[in-house]
Amino acid sequence: MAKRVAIVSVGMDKFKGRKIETAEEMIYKVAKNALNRAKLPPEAIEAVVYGCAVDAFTATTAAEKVTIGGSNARLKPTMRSCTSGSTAISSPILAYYHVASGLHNMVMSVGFEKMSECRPHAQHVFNTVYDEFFVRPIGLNVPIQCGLEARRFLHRYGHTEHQMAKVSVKNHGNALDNPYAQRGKKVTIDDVMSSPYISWPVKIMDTSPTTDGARAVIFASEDMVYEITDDPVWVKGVGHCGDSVWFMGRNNSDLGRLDYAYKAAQEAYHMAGIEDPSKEIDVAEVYDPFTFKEMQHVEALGLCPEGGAGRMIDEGISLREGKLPVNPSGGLIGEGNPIGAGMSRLCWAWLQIKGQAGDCQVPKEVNTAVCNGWGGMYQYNAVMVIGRD
Amino acid sequence: MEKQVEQINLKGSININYEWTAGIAGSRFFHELKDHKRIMGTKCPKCNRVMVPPRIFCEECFIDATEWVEVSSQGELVTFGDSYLGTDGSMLEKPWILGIIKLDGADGGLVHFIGEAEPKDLNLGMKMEAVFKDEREGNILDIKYFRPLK
Amino acid sequence: MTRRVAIVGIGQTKVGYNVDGLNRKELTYMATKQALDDAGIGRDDIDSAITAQLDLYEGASLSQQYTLDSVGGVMKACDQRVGEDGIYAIFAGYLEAAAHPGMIVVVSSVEKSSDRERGSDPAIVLSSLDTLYVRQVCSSVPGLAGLEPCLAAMEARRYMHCYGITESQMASVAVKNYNNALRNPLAQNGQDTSLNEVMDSEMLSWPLRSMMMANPGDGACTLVLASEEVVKDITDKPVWIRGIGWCSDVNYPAVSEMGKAKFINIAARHAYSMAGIKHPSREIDLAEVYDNHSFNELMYCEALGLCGEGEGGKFMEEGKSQYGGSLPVNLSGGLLGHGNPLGTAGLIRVAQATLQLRGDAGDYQVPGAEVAVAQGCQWPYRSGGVAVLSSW
Repeated sequence: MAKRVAIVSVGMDKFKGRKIETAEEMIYKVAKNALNRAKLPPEAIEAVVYGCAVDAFTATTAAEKVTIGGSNARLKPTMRSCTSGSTAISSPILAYYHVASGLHNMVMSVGFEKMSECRPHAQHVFNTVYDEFFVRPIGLNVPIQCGLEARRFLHRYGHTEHQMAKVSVKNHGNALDNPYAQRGKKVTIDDVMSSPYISWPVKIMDTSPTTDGARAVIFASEDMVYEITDDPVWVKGVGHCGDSVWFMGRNNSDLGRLDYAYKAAQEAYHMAGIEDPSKEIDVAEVYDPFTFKEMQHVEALGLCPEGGAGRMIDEGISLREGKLPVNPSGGLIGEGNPIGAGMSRLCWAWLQIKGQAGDCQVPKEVNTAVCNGWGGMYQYNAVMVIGRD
Repeated sequence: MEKQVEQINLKGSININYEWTAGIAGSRFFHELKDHKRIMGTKCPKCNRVMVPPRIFCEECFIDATEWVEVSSQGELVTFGDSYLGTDGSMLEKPWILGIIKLDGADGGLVHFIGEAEPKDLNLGMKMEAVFKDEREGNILDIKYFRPLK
Repeated sequence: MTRRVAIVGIGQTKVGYNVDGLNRKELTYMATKQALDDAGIGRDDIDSAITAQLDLYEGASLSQQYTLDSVGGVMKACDQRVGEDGIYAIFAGYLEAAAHPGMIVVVSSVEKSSDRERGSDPAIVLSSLDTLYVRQVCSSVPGLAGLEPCLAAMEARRYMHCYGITESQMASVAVKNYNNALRNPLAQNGQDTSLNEVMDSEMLSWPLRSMMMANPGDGACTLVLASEEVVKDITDKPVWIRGIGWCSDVNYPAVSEMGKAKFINIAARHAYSMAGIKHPSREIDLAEVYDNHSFNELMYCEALGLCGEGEGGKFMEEGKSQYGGSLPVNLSGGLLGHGNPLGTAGLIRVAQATLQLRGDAGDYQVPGAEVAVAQGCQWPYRSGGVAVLSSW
């Protein structure tokens, strides 16, 4: 039997467009924050798992290897997951397995990214993600890729730019209460609708910023979790799934339908024993690098029926005071998107369950939460369900 | 299998420019190098190590280390390596030499050029000293090289 | 107790330069097909697919993603992309398989060194050096091609200084491995060479000579792991992963001790403890060790406890690590004999050790081999891992 695994702490620090700290210094701060929060000595951590998406952002091969000291990982086992955006959740999943397998009792997951160092802009690096023969020469970049997907998504389900804009308003606004956020601000639907197009239907205000930042999460085995807390938040289910990297020829229903996300979610819910997430999930922190992604993900995660994302935002269900709040922290759009540190979604899900989300706390009882990450070659999703027993 | 098709190769490169952050510790370190021609490390309040390169934390004790201490610009030659390969691939008469120098008073040190010496003059463990440039910019090349202490 | 996990299928392409004109995805597919056929399973049986690669070696970001289709991993709910040397794919695969009953995990890594312009490997080395304190110095050396030998020489010199290891002992490793590679059909660099020839080869940076450094190569390797519940349905020759361990040291100059591989020693201790091995020099039958620079084989053998600290040279001279010796090392030819597909070489070490324990190593088989150790690492970082395998 796999060991049960709980999350006993998270490490938080401010996200910023360009932080003065090096990657290692950023990590030190969140690692310390996580240890202090749970009153754990550094020696308690047996192994460290890193999530860092793209070495080319800093031109350092195995970028986490230059942060070993600051991660409290000197001469400890370390391993790194990188699945682009979904690193946010695939790296804590790897950390989860370190404990679930029975190999380790306490493992720290560290997610980080320094996107501010490449010139002229991090976007330049994103082009290197693509296949060098078929795609890179065409000059495909992330905004256009997302435009391709979003167009299919709106077409298939009849969602509107207006609804996308409401997600932007929600998340920017939620981030005003988030002390770590890069971009909390009050925006109106008009602000979003009149912002310039990057690639229809995606506009500037539909996107998340590039960011420097780090997060930490501490996982503990059932064998010792009660030495640390009497209110463990368990990892109830994990799932991850990748579709073919050849997005132009995928054998799935529709580019606008994230089949792989549905599958990853099913896997996680099955493990968690959840049959109707729209009723059994109390709060969700989903991956929203773009507004339409939040909409795709709430559908894939079963938080609303397929095709129901537009209604979900229209009816205020996903507002902080709504029936099923989504991204009460502000999400990536409001808090910032340092890719490897998208693990912040998991951190906020935990803070909500523990009642420690400060001004972002949702006004309802929270026992179970779901979070996800999206990325890979735009074909990967990782999902984690956490909660009390 | 059908007749083999001639292989196609595609040339390309990735050219990305960077502006790396020196960080909190690095910024102070390089200012000191540039403005005061000195090498500084940070001291751990618990184990008292002085760390070079400096960190804002001690990775052993895992606590903040914010006290800055000047360390000697002299130290011990831990090891070195030499190469006769020139810029254009030609063979040089005199080799260039890189070494690791553990600085006196510090736990740690620097990788740098070794100058004013030939490999035969160098022994592991011998004392070396840094030679600074007159015009400094705030990076590791503000040190020109390390040379054997006279 | 953790669930047991075994290797039930192996696939490995030959290592060479521009192997058969195949690109990265094709190489991966070849290795994966071989592994699946070897295990007698199909894509439908795969539960999870884990790939391990290092981006800047490949000229592509998220390079591990590229090969997902080629490992049969499309739409599998459970998988991972690991940014480490290939041996870590075994570790990550083990963790998943140990946590789920009856799970089948495909782990794979590929490297196309030939995609990189010849002579561009210094850029790879530079990318592993600390940007603030080390890289500028190293990028301003006159002849960048001399950088890797110089950095390797620094460690070799320290190693010799600490323990009296000699040039001839270091060269002997190369002689052994090139000759061993002649028996391995997958190795590209097999040659019938002598100590004189190695000691006469071009001096790159004392004491590193050209024949003491592994050449880059292309290669792909895929292994199939299964958790114990289904192993016997798949094969009657499983090779059990008895112990795994991995470890990383910091990257600051002059802080980590040179001339010894403490990070490998710690990784090995984790692995041996898990495997219940107390005296590796007596209990291990053969080893596959990361010999990107020939002296590293000696240093890592010490760290792995195959001989005493500082006794790597003696170990070599006594002949124990030779083909036919009591503890042969790198019968496959190692990186020197195979070629070095960076980022995949560690996984190939595991594959080669597995071949031996199955009795499938043909001309270089160690008769009656039952316990093996495989080691990989990520030079110039002080980071690597160890796997202990057994046939029971």
